[in-house]
Amino acid sequence: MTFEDRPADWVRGTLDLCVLGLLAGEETYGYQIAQALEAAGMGPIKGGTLYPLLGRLERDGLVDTRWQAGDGGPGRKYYRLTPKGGERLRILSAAWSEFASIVTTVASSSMKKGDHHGESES
Amino acid sequence: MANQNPELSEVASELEEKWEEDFVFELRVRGVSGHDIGAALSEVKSHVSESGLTAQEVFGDPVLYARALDIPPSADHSAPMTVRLVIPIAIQLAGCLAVLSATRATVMGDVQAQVSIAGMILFGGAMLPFVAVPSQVMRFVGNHRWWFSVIMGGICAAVIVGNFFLPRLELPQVIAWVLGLLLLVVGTVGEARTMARRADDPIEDPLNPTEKPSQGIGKTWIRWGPVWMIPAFVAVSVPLWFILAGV
Repeated sequence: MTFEDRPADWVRGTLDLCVLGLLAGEETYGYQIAQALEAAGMGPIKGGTLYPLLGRLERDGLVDTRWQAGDGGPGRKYYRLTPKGGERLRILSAAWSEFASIVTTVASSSMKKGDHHGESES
Repeated sequence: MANQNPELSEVASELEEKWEEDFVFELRVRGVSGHDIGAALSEVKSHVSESGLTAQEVFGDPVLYARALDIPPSADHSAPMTVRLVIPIAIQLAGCLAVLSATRATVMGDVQAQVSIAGMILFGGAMLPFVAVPSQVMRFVGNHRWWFSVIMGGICAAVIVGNFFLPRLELPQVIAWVLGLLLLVVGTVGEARTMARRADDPIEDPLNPTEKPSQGIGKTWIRWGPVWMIPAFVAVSVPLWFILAGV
């Protein structure tokens, strides 16, 4: 299964959690975040999706930012998690684990029922 | 990606400039400060530079992207600042109509100038959208300059025609000239001073806040519209009236 098979809503709904998770590891900047998300299998994340999210995280006080000169190019805006962001990440991670578990349970039980139907029909 | 064909490179560069101009314009009309625009623009340039893609490819439509960022407007776009912009415009309007009335009296050889109160209300109503929903109006002006000219011309024509037929306040011709010009000057100076405070908000490079890498506001004349529009209308209308009347 590739990222193209997944509904776009899944990425949109979980992107803030994933970005907070990436920022928990290290201070980083927009382009690198997009690259890391793609490398992790989230698929290509457009700047038009990523930067508005980063801006919202900054306004909500979940990340701190600082500017640093780029390597011969334009400056980079680095993002790092604040304590409030860390707390938000902890809450979201726990909620996601629980939610993913529920979805998996419900979806697999439906599949099992489907299998039973399939078996009884055959 | 670097383009080997010089013509294609030129087209790509123009497209990037257009993208940047539209992006900055949308943020400006949304009341975002030069500091915040500079930061947003630097982040776009940084990403584009590292990815090798165009701004359109990475961020999509510049206007939609500017809106998606949802950057709060600066304090210069607060309600008190809007009021400070409206009062000089109202003074300019009163001066404009007094000068037009004085012009008419001079052309007709009347001692008394008849200042149209209804014309003031009509003109004031026409100016209201610029104050109430400046972002939308400025966007319309930026995107439909010809239609804007037609609409403004229609409003001016309606005011001039209305000036003849609707109730009027009688003033001696000389008083109408002096009062009208005085109000125009006072209103224009007041508006220019208020706008200067707003205009002094350059787009800043976040790494060099004191430098001014790019104003990015090729549409400066639109932003200064509230200052020059009414005096320009008077400056064109009065001589035209005298010429048409053969005075």
